[in-house]
Amino acid sequence: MAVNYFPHYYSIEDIFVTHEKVECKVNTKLQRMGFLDAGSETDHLEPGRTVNLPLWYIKELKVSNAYFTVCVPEIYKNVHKAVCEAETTHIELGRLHPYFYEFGRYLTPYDSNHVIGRIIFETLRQRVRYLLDISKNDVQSRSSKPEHRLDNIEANLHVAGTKTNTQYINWLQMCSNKICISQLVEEHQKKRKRADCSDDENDSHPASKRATL
Amino acid sequence: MFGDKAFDLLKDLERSSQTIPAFDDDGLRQVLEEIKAIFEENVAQAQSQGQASSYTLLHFRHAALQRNKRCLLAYLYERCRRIKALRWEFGPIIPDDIKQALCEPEIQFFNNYSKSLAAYMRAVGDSQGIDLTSNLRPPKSLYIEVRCIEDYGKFELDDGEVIHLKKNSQHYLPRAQVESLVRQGILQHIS
Amino acid sequence: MSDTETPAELNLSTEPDLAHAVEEEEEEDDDDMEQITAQKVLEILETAWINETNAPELLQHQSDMLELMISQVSHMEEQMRDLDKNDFRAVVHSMELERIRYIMASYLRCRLQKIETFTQYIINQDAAREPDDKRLSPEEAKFAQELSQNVDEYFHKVATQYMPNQQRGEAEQRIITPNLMSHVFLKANVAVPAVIVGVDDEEVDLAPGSQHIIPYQLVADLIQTNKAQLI
Repeated sequence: MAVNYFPHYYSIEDIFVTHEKVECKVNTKLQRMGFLDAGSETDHLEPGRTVNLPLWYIKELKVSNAYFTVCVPEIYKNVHKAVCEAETTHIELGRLHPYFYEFGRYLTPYDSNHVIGRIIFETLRQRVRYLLDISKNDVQSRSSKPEHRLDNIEANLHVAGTKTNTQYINWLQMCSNKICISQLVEEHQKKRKRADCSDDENDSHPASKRATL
Repeated sequence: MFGDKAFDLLKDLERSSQTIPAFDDDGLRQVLEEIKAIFEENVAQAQSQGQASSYTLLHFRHAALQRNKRCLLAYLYERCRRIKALRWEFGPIIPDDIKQALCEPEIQFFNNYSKSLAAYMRAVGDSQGIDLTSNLRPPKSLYIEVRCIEDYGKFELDDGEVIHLKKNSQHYLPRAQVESLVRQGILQHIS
Repeated sequence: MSDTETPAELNLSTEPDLAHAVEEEEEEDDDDMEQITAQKVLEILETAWINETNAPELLQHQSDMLELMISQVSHMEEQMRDLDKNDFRAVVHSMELERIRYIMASYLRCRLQKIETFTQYIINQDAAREPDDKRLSPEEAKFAQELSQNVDEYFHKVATQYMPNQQRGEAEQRIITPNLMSHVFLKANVAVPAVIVGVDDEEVDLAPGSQHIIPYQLVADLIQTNKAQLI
């Protein structure tokens, strides 16, 4: 079954993205919402203050709401120069933000200057070729984990890419036909073996361990 | 912040290296309590007919409540997904140590799922049936070479021939009939 | 349930074509297959299988074809019992049977996977369809209903019964839908004029045998009517 990134209500990845916080400016006095502002001295949220709000709340707000103005996160501004110079393949995107594209996508409607949308589009356009290259060259067994280099979506593409490539190579070499032990059974057996090993250790020190049993 | 506990449920589930980590009874209860508390505060505020400016607070709490629900249900949904995988990989009986990580309703869920899947597989093709948990790879040969990983004992083939599967012994057997033993880790397919 | 199997692998088999084996059987047999040959049945199933593995949504079920094929398989098994195990024909025939069994199992597994993911969506869609157009076979429909109930029951027992009542729209929000705009690889079986591609009503004529990458939704009807197939 073909799978692509298409988040739904139960998507854990999407829940992770929407857990991210964004800086917002308070525009009007908000009664009894002082708890959102750690530095607040009153019960209320005062205009002019900045607060960090979770994305799951922001996306429920109207773009033109009178209470908060969403600020464009620094990371997108920082990438801007690299995008212009077409140098984005060197950016360690995963370190910058683990959900660089999705986070940006959620913020696009709140960004009145329309920079985020352009930045994430250009970044991906520039990097996709590079992603293809490393997917072809990284064999699965060689576990060069490029995690900090890639954002979550890129990492998923990378995994899918290397997997397809490995399957293709196996197919060419006609060695894809082996029946494998089921993955969960294998994990389970390993765990059992580890447990057995520690049991043996227990037996060799009966006095010290018996007491705890 | 609201919703953080619910988020932790998911984070722990994702981080755990276990097949299925133990059902987080305590975490779940705390999230349910938070949901209830938010709900009651909102009801109280709505009844006291506060000023219009506190609408934002109402709205914020509502979003927090929905957020909590979403995290909690996603936690359960992901567990469902993994429990279903158990049926396909281990068969109709869950190993005891994994079973300990499940709560009673989850065991019930597994049993129901196992039953419907079995009923479905029996009913396919005008009740002639087909086992979907086997025939997992495209077949290339009728017979395969296998090594026995653990003592299994007697194994009877379709034609009545009986073989002894002893640890470390090697056999050349019909693929279709031994596939499930390989999947269960009793035999290993060698080439 | 992670099917990593690729249809392409099967085509690599150097064994004689299954169709011949089955047809041979059929000639010895009487014609309980009426108009349709076993070869044709297998072809239909193979196409359905490849379409199903590549389409983002659940396609029309093929209960009739499956039924025919399964009877044919057990019939062949019956006859082979009389053959010597080392007879060359027996080896070839059993190999073909294994292949058919694999195709059927893989096909049904793929459908179950979709049913499990998009349970409610598929149930709702099918409820609005005429009996003849239903995507789910009766067995699949039963399985989907049971699964949906089973999940609801579990959710209810551990969580939802302790939550404030659901609001309007919440149930709909939770339905998981397939991404019908996913791109697919397509091969035209016949000439198809004026297929709309892209948002600005741009049109393209598909030549028979030509191959394309295109969002699924724009060609879903071509798959349904067998004017094109996924690859």
